Amino acid sequence: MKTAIFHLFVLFTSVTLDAQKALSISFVPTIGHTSIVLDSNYQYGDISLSISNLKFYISELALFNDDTFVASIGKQHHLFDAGLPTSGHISQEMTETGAFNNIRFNIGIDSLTHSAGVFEGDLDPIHGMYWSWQSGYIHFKLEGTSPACPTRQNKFQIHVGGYQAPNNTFRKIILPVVASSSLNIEISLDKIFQQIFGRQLFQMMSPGPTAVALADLFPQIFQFKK
Amino acid sequence: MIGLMSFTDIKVIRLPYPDHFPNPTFDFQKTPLDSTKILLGRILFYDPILSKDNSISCASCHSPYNAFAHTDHDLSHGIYDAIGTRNAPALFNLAWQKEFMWDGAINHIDMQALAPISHPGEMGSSINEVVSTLNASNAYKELFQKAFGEKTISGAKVLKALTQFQLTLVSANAKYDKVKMGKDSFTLQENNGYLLFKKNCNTCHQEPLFSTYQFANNGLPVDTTLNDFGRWRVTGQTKDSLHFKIPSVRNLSYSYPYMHDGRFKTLREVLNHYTEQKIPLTSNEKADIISFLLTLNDADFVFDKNNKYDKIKG
Ligand code: HEC
Ligand code: HEC
Repeated sequence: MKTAIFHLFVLFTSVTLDAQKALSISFVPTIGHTSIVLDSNYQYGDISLSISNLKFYISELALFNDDTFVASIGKQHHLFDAGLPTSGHISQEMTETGAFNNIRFNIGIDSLTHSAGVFEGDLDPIHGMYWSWQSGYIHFKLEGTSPACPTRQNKFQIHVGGYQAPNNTFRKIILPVVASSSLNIEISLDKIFQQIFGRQLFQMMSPGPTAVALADLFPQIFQFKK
Repeated sequence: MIGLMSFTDIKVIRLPYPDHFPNPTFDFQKTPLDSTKILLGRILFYDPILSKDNSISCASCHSPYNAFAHTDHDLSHGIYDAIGTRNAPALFNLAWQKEFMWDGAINHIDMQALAPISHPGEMGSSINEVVSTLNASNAYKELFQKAFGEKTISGAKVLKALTQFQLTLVSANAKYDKVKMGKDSFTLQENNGYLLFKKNCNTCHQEPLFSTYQFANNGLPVDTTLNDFGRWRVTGQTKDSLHFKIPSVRNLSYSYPYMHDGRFKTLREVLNHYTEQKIPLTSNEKADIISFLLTLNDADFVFDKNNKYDKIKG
């Protein structure tokens, strides 16, 4: 079934981009398909919760046509921050034309960048996305509160990081899309909350097998929404 | 055509080191040294503005007179008299090191300063707080403008400046180095100590840096009040249990006490530890090794006024 749908995309959606047009990709985090804002109440099943911080790195975002690279979109490393609405929109003036039917990006920072010292901008450690006690970027950070968390101040704090085998949590995402100049990508947090509440995973702040298991869900939380 | 480039004091500098040293591991091609960044880094290194209560600077734990170690304290002391869990290591020849801290938890010198700045028992602050405090200082804005061509201070610039200063801490002018350069010669006892050192110690404390900067277990039993298993915590592999970074044995007279937890106060205790670890040495041989180790004291480095706070007008 899945492959059939994918082939349909390949056959019918190879649209050509015009030169000198902006292409924009928007990332929208949701719970139960409702888009979220920070510090508001949401229901995950019968659990109520609120998110105070959601940040993650989107790196090497690019358009592809099947396996052929078409164009890079935005900066090499982009920090998504739910507290900064503009950070959800990544756009690029297009100079070359080309059909595309999937987008590719990584969640997190590659190991080469990890060992190359400090960088300005989105990689600057002032964003709270770098561990101070042991080198490494936090690829994905989700924090908030829920009465269902038996923790201090009912907090959950999920920091996914780790760049060295066997605890590497850097993940590549390939997403089939219908080409247009404005693409919407939904980030469905339900799968992450399933882990937080299902496995009582309220605090995770270091690399290890638990972080790896969470990172393995990343490819499933992104969906193309037109 | 091109704008004037002359309103800058930036002067690219080559790291000075003698011919008997290997090439540094730090990539100076990518990040050259320059005098204004070095000076800025030096000012930051001595400024308690980096700590939460304005009481502790990097130099509080890394004093120039102790080859940038913390003499007399087995474990480091931070803000509100908090006592850490490890001995502050001497800082020199950092351009030849790839991994930092006793367990190698830090993978690049740029990132190292985040650890003491954020540690609740060291400087108790955060890089954000440091950046906003510095951005409120006109003097610092001026210095950052000179060094980076921009008044706005970022975390990356603070860290890069600290790196630049620390990379210039090169210790390469001890008696040993002068012997290597043909400017001096060992006494008989020192020479005998040198031969014994090469036989028993050099695999780990490899000349001329006097460390391979790898990790090893030199047989110290774990201190059960600290339960510090070293590199194990970083790699998660039991084979790394009780492995610590091999320290250089340069400048030992300035940097006591010794080992990751500062458990030994004298070189004699260190040598006694190694003879218990099946390195057979007579007491004369131990004395010879110690006399050789003393040829690794680099007074020129320890008293170099370019590394100190005093003459800075920043
Ligand atoms: C409270 C004392 C204290 C303060 C303040 C402090 N350090 Fe340290 N420093 C230490 C200790 C202890 C270690 C070893 C830590 C470890 O191995 O986990 C260390 C390690 C280091 C290392 C690694 C050296 C090596 O050979 O691996 C560097 C570089 C360093 N410090 C630089 C700095 C800088 C720069 C500052 C100021 C921003 C600073 N330190 C502030 C105590 C301190
Ligand atoms: C197997 C590798 C190895 C060998 C061989 C070895 N060492 Fe070490 N040495 C280490 C390690 C690792 C440490 C740090 C251990 C710690 O702090 O837990 C160390 C620490 C030291 C220190 C303390 C330095 C400081 O700044 O704290 C001295 C001095 C020293 N060794 C001297 C010697 C001498 C002399 C010999 C030969 C008799 C020798 N070592 C042989 C690995 C070795």
